[in-house]
Amino acid sequence: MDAPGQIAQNHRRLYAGAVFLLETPVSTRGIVRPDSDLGAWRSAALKLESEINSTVLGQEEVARLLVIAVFGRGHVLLEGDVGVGKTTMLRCLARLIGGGYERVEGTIDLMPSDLIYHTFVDEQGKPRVAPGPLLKHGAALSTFFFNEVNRARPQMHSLLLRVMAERSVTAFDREYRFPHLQVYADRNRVEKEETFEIPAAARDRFLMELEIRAPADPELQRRLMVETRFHDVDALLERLPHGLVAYEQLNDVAASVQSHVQATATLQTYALDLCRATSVPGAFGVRISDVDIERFVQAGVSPRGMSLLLRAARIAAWLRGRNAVAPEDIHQVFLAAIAHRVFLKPVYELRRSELVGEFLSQVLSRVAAP
Amino acid sequence: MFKTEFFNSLLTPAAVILAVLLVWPAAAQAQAILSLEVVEPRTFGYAIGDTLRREVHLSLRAEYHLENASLPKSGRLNRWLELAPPEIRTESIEDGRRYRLVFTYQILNAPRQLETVTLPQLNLGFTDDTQPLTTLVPALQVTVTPLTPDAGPDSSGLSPLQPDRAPAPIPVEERKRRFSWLVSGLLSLLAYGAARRWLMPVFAAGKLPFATAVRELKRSQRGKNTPGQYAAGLRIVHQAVNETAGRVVFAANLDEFLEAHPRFGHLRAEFARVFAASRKVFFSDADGVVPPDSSLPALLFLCRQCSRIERSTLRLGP
Repeated sequence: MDAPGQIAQNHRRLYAGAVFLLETPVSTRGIVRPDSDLGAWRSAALKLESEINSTVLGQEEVARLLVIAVFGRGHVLLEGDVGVGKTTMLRCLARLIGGGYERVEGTIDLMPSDLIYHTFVDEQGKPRVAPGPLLKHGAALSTFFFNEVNRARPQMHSLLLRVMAERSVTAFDREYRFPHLQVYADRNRVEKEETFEIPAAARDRFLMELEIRAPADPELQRRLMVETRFHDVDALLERLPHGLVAYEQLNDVAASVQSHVQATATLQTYALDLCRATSVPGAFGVRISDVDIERFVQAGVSPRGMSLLLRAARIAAWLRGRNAVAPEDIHQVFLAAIAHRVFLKPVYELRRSELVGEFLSQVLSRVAAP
Repeated sequence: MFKTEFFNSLLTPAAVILAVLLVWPAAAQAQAILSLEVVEPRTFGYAIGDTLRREVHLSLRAEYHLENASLPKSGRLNRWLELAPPEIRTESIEDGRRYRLVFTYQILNAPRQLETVTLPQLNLGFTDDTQPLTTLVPALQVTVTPLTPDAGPDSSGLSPLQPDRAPAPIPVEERKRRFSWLVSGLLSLLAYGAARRWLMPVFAAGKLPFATAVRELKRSQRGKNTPGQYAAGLRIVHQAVNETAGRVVFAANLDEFLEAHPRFGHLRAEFARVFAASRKVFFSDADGVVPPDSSLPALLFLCRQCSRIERSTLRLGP
């Protein structure tokens, strides 16, 4: 790890006269929790979930999947209408797991450098370089929310791809690492003009795509409207405990959970069959009305998708207090972890939102386990 | 007919009787009627279907007019005659009005012998709106001849009365064929229904999911008792349940399955036990451990029960 002086020197070379204000990256405490601690971590995870549910009403399923994503150390693609509580949920999550939280808005003129640094003239009239949202928290960055990611240009997508894949970025002649980073990206589905669809490669790197809908229950809607504590988001978040789970330990806990929760041979076969059924649905007897199933799928689940599916299912099993994955754990995460990885033939791509859900539920109802 | 017309044409001018009848009784009547002329048809040589035309030319003074209600009603008069609606034509003359009344009768009967038929008398009423008056045209007798002789000459096949000609037979071959098609179609439908109802179950029963499961379980029971045997048995049961449901059934949607197939409802506990055992065998961390409370015979027993139920469902038809 470079000393701050070294960094500053590097930057001085690059930006003559500029003073760089980069924080020292916080080193991880490096505590590897043994398996025996997993019980305590599980209660912490369930507490995390209940805190999210007390902050954002009527999103129990999404909250559970978010917790699975946190402990599966995966990035999440969010989808939902305006004002359903996406940002609140993420701010709540960021506060509960601690670490740095950053949010950027995707715009068409946003460039990669905007995330890394920004330049300004200080009170003494000297040009200065300050770290951008990505570097500001250094290694402590734990939650990065990219709003309306499809408004940003492909250059941004490629930066995002790198950050997500390697949890690092190269800037000022060195590499910055974000070992605890989780990227959340929100896609604007309303407007089509001046948007750039995220490339398949970037989409595949997200562990899950979560659909957040406004709660349909009239009682919840009434509470959201009437109860004053939901009116002020800052106050609502203020009452939450800070750092309920230690973000810097999540990687180790996640690894422990993955090695602790078993997947039997039968379950592996089942998960593999499910993934294969997304590539060759006809062979598994999957049928959708008025769809030629042989010409439906362009590409099914990638090997990475398969591994991420099982990773998420292990977390789901662990949260349910089991030490082996069961089919219902796979079912719980299947739609969220798989839907965005199935690429349809262009003729069906336009009807994607209506077809993919039906396709995957057909896959689940056709693939036998055992 | 031809004969009648011939006489008509020949004799009509001669048969026209110009009867200028002076109607004397009442002075008022004499005053009212300027002239009355009746043109009668000939009185003989009529046969069935012939028409007779009586014309009455009545001239009245200007202040008098004919009462239409006094004219005879058209229609069938008796078994011999029918009267067509009378034709009335009016024209003005020097000091009054002339009515031309035409009464057309038609003979509607054919006598065996020569018959006398009476055209009824006509009472024609007229008035000057103060006093009703009538004038009378007397009845006319005409003769009607028979069409056929009493006994025709036998030589030419003219027996006295010819029997009715037999109607031409309607071609029924096509209808017979169609009817036989219909009957055979109906019969085959009945046969199909009967086969579906009684025969097919006999053949299909062996191919039903649980019947197959029973067979396979028996076969696997015969083999050596290996640790994988129970797992294989569970797979067989799962396959039968999935096939019956038409989708994959998990412990979570077992209730859904039993709701859709209520005949298996009373076996809920047994199914739950099998699913729990399957969960232990296939998805617990100790892979392939047979739970002590489960055995292959228990699976076989469950499948036998289900097989009986599915067979009875089959007999009841779809």
